[in-house]
Amino acid sequence: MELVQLIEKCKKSDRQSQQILYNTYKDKLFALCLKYCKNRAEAEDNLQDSFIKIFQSIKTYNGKGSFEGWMKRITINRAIDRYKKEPFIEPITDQHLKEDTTVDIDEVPVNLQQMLALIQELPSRYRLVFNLYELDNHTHVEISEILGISVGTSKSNLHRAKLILKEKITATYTTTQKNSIVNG
Amino acid sequence: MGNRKDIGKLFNERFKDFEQAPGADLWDTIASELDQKNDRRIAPLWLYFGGFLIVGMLTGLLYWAPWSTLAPNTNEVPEIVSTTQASQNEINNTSSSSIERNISNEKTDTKLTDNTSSIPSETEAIANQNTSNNNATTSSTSLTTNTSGVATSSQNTNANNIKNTVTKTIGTKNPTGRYTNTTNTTLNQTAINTSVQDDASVQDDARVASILGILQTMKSASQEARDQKELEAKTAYQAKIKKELATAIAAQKEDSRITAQKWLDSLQAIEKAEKIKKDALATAAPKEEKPVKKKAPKLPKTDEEREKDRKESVDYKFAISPYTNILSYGSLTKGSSIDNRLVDNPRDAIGTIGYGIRTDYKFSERSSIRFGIGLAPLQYKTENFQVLITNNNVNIFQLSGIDPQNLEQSGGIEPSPEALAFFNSNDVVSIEQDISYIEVPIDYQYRFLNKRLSMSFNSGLSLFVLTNNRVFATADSGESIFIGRETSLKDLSLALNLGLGTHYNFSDKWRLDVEPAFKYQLNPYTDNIGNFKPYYLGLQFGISYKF
Repeated sequence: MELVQLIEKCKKSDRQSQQILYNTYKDKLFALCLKYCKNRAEAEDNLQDSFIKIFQSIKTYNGKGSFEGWMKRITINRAIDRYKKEPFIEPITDQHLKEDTTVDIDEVPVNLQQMLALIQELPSRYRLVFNLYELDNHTHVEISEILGISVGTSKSNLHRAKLILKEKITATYTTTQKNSIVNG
Repeated sequence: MGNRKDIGKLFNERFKDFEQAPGADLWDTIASELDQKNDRRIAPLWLYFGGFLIVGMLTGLLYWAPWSTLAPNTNEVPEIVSTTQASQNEINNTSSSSIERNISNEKTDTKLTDNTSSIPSETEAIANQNTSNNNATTSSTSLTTNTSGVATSSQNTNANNIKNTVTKTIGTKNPTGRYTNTTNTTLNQTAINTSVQDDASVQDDARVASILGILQTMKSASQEARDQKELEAKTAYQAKIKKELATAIAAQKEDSRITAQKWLDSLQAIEKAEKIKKDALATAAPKEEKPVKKKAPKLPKTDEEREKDRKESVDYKFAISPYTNILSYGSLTKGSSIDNRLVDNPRDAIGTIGYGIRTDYKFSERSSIRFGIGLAPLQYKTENFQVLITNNNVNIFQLSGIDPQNLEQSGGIEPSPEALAFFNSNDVVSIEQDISYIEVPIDYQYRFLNKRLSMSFNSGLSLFVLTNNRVFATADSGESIFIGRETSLKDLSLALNLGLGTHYNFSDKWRLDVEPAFKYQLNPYTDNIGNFKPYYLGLQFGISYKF
């Protein structure tokens, strides 16, 4: 069945077609949820909410633009709604704003799940900004509109997110090195 | 040193084609939720439909209810007369109707004869109609020979006759709509007799029309019989209701008589009790009073007793009242006293218990001045604060309303190792403020009810002396850590008091007080950073000793 036909059937609330659509895109959208949410449980909740929203509003999809992009936007918006209002007090100090955010590739953990865990451990605001800017290619202007913050705050949040990631990667690398030395 | 790369780009590359499967049962959850949402959409339609049905049924029930038809059926008469007038118009127009023109006089007469035989009660009416019918036939004859002006005159005369006949029938028969229609049909057919033209080819049609007319008349007759039965049933029902009403009224009279008798008995019992009391007092035998009291029925208070209650309520100069107070702290606005960035956080008061003692000085029967002193411990919680640590700086210590300089163990922005460990292991915490005041209230009390149970309105001012000001971070596990003090709380402040008191006077010496009170702090902060307008609600329970 072609995507257009599938969408048309989903518009008529055909349950079988909805399941096919779900099976087709669930892995991609779940990966997105994992990046934007704090943990797997919240990611599954977000995916569930997103698919329900997708099926409810699929009648409004007019066929223009990528259907996958349309679904991704819904999924990201659900995650943003989930964390947008979470209380967040940034540190006042800006002493680290000029710090380098590059890392040695050799020191970065190879395991993708470890990297995902690092993203999930970020404070929600930082995680959203980092994902939107670095992984989903939004500009700071767009992020400021999406999250209701200033462009400066968006930039600052991104920088702090990178510093935290760098700090944690370095710490993980150091621990791994120590363990390997101890173990011989 | 290896190959360095921006951390953002590095993550972007690694997560480019990242995919992961969710739980296997997630689709079932989504499908069931979609089903529920569909059900929810359908439900209101059924509700509307059901509601419509119920309203329809109720309307029908009200329309056909027997009690509504028991009243004289006066509204129907003008309606029927009006219909008759319409029939008269039809008669005048009959000459222009090609179909009615073809119906013969003979068939009409046959129909009228049937009508008469099937409805004996209408004999008079139908006889009159026959008369008018004959007149119409006569006029039809004259119409063939005379001018159209004469014909019109006859028709009008016949129409008037018909109208009179029908009106008379209505006056005597309590007609229904259907009966009137039948009459109209007859009138129409009578009017048909004014037609002049004979056409042999149309006679069959006329016969069919006549048969249909007979059937309709028979149907009307059976309907009339049903109506008659219904009327009889209604009359019987009305008689039954009247009888029941009469019985009920009689029973009510009997009840009133019994009640009056009871009151009389009560009065006699009072007199008897008083007499026994006097006798007992006269013989100085107090032990006998108790059984007399027990036997006496509960009666309305006498004026003397009321006066006694009033005196017990007001006959004192001073009263001392220790009290306990259930307190709840809050803000009239959405603001936060800790930081204006926390206005959207969920916040809640924690119930606390205060205590104190108060003195009343009564300077008139209804007015008192009250002084007191008490302790008001207050607690307030700001939930869901997300902790962020950057280079050992914890963002909770940067809240504008908390002064971490007061931290004895840390001595500055850098938290103690214990605090750092606490925040490292708790991402989200609640911020709990513990504030205590010594309260010195001065109130004016106005008692608007002075009985055994009296009520009062209290208003005044309280002086608040700050005795405790501490802020804690609390984890979900219940573990908490001291993080500082509120920066802008004043040591001395004032509050406006409003309260409503309920007092039960056990005796002339003791009284139970229950007083809900609202206290609004007028100037609690040196700098109100988060637009926090604090108040507290208290529910005081106290025992007063009056002297």
